[in-house]
Amino acid sequence: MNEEARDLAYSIPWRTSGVRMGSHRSYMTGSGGLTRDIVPLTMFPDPRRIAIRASLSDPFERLLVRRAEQPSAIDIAVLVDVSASMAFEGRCDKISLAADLAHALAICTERAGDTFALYPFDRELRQDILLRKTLSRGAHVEAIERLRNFAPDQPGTAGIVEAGAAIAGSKKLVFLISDFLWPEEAARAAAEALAFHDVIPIELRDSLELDGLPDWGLLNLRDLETGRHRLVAMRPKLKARWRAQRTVQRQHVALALETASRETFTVSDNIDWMRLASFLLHGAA
Amino acid sequence: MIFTNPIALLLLPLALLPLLLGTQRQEAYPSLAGFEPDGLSVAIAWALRIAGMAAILGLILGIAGIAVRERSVERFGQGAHIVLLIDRSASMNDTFAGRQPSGEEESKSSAAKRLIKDFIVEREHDRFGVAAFSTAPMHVVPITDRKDIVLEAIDAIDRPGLAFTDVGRGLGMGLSMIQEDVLQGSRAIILVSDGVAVIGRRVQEALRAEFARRPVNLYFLYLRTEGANSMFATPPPGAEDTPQALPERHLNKFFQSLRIPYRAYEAESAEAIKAAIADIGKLEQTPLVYTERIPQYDLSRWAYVVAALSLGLLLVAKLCERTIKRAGVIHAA
Repeated sequence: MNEEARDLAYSIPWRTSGVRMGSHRSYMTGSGGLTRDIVPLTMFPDPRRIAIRASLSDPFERLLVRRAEQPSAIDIAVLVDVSASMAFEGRCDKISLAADLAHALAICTERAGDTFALYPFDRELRQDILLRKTLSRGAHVEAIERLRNFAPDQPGTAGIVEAGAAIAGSKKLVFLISDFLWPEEAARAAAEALAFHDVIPIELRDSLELDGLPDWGLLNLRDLETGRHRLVAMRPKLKARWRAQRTVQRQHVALALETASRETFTVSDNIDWMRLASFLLHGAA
Repeated sequence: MIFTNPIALLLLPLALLPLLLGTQRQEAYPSLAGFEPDGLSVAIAWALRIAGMAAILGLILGIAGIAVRERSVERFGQGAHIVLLIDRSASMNDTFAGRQPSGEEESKSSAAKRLIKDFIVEREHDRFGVAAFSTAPMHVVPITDRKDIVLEAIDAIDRPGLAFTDVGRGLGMGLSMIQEDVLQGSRAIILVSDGVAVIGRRVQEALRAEFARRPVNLYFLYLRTEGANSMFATPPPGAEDTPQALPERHLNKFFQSLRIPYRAYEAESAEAIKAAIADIGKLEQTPLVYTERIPQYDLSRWAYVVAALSLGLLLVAKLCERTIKRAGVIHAA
């Protein structure tokens, strides 16, 4: 965990209705710094906040009071794809990248007073390593360590629907961490399941996947997702075709996801924390 | 199809292994779902699977000793079933001049042997039997299409023979050999002799009955020693004309009286024998059904060849094997 990761921050472009004090803008009125609106004293009987100028200029001669916003806490859910394809270790270890991201986000939530939840899923929601929303720092660390030590063993991504049910309720900030080597339908199902929330897809990409293929030769590849073997007579032309097909697949998945999410943030081999922070704060990297 | 070691066939299910397992080293890959299978790869994958199966199959069949069973095929040809009835009397070992062979001279039996062997080799579809006679007839080889056996038997006939010449019983033996032969076809006896004795009256009667029952072409090749009587010559008037005095002439007359196709050849030299045999060859050209035996053929060497070629292909594929290059991998933490 490097130091830059600790400085990660996020912001939300929407107001929460959370009642708990926190650091995000909300619909609640309370004792925050920002003026929200001006209402009659009868409505908000706090004479400390009488707005003199507004009261004097009120044509109905009422006593008006300033109301301030209350910054509220939100719930953060980190959904990690731990399906078999995430086990591929080329130039990076996707599971450990995901754990790093989750750890950085957990630290963020601790700083901002938000809750943190971790939902790893493959073809089902992984009950054995998930963490329901909590403020407990110890629980965060423990869950992240469990994730880091986890060896993916099941294919599929259908568990995201269960995860969607688990985080149903008020609007949450959801990080969806995966390699997104999904069929388009899976991406669409994920988008539907998470549509109510503010979803930030983070794609983990291992450049060795395509760069590491030899120009010529026979490869016996085992698809980690399906377990099927395929003997491939690799040649430059086929390599180029694979590259193109993978690009098209990524485009399709991104298109399906982004109907209900923010733009996908791509992590290639290693995480550029500054870029990620910038992306999370300003919506663009 | 037969197997010399059929228990090895129990291993045959192993040939299905290549369908389940590959020879190439597996490599994990996140997902192949987005990549269309390409024709060349699919073809190579199946070729290697089939090569694997062929290799295992070839080895198992090789171990099992696969062979094609011996068969006999009926064929049509021209020829005859011929019994060679050869005189083994001591005089056959002399030359045509009636002396012991010396230097470059050839004895009657070796000349006959050489020419008859040529005849046998030449006559593709004929079946031959060999009988010899001197004091008593000898059953040498029954009528058979195994030319090599017949040739060996002919080779043996110039071993020094015995004294007497009993044509009657020799012919009886030849006829009984023909009797034993059940296949269809024209039958002939070639009697090779250099001088005969009298056939007794009762033997003559028996032969007459035998020949009447079963029509046989008879060829009498008389190897006449210089100075011996000719069988065609009529004795001058006044000379004694009895079977005892002129046995060849009377034997010829006896054969002519049998009412069977008969031809007599008198040969004083190897060339004459050759001409006579050529003549017989021309005459014995009737259509004939014969069975050809095709011997058991060992296929296991071909099974091993197939296995070796398949293994070669697999080896080439193995040498073409590549992996995902992992050089310079940095694990970002």
